[in-house]
Amino acid sequence: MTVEQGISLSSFEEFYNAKRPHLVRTLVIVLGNRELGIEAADEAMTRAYQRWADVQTYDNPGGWVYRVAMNWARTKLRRSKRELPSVYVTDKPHIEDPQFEPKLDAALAELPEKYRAPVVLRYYMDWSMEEISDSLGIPKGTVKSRIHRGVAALQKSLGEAT
Amino acid sequence: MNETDFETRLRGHLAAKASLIEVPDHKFVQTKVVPFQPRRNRFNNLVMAAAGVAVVAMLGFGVLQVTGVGSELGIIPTKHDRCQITIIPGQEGYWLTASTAEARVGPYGANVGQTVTVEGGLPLMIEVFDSPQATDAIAANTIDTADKDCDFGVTVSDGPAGFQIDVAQR
Repeated sequence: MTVEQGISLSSFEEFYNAKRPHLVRTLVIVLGNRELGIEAADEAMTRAYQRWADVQTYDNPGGWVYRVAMNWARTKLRRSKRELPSVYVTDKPHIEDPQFEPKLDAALAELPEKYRAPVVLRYYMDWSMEEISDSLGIPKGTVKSRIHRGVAALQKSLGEAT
Repeated sequence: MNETDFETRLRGHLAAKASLIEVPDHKFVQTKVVPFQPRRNRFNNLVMAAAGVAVVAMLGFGVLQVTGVGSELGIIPTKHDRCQITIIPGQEGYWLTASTAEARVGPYGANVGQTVTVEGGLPLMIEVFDSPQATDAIAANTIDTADKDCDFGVTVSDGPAGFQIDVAQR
């Protein structure tokens, strides 16, 4: 089951409570900055609240919020003349979880954002190609291509290229 | 389409990484507005706000009544362009920030004791956190509208969950 499925979006509050944690984590990973990710998520959620009558009718309201959050973050970074950071910041030691791979994490951090975003949306959010296409505003074919190239780049970074 | 072993590892890694990212508990609270109760001083404001809550409850209207620790979201009931909220350090326990959707005012925790400008008509986010800085803006009833031209008032009082924030239209 995807993050998007199985949730009735009958109210903004329900949407907010269900989506915000995933949205924050996705943004933190894609942006590589915890505070920026949290702030972008809250800003996007506020805008969703303002337009909820329309947003709730969208096929993928979560995708809309993600797109708004990323646009807000990019604008903020552009105004502050900063680049998207390439280093993750995590809150806890990660040695306890065997699935966490430090080398893979480093490779993901080095991946350009245009590849990292669709990879994260695909393999963390479990969104379909259509949902990713909609949220990133790029054709489905481009999404497939970027995911393919992103995964290949990660494998190459780890010396596992096929 | 079957995933490769690498894709499965990538999925597991991202799930593990995501679980390491702590998400602050910002609660969304649906808010409404009540007619403003004139404020003479903080004590009076507290009393009038409490009375306003009771009256409005009796009449069946809503009240912008926010309780709980976390992020609280409301719409500023103002037609003015700009209003200000002064946040004054209290005794202990919490610190508080205020910002709008369009322009966050200062970093979190930096504006205790400062006057922040709030754009009229935009959503107002009031955030109350536990804080090592030990300021109790809540119990001390020290959120105050400093600009007399504002057509809304913010008061803070004790509530069922420890405190209560009321925003009332003048």
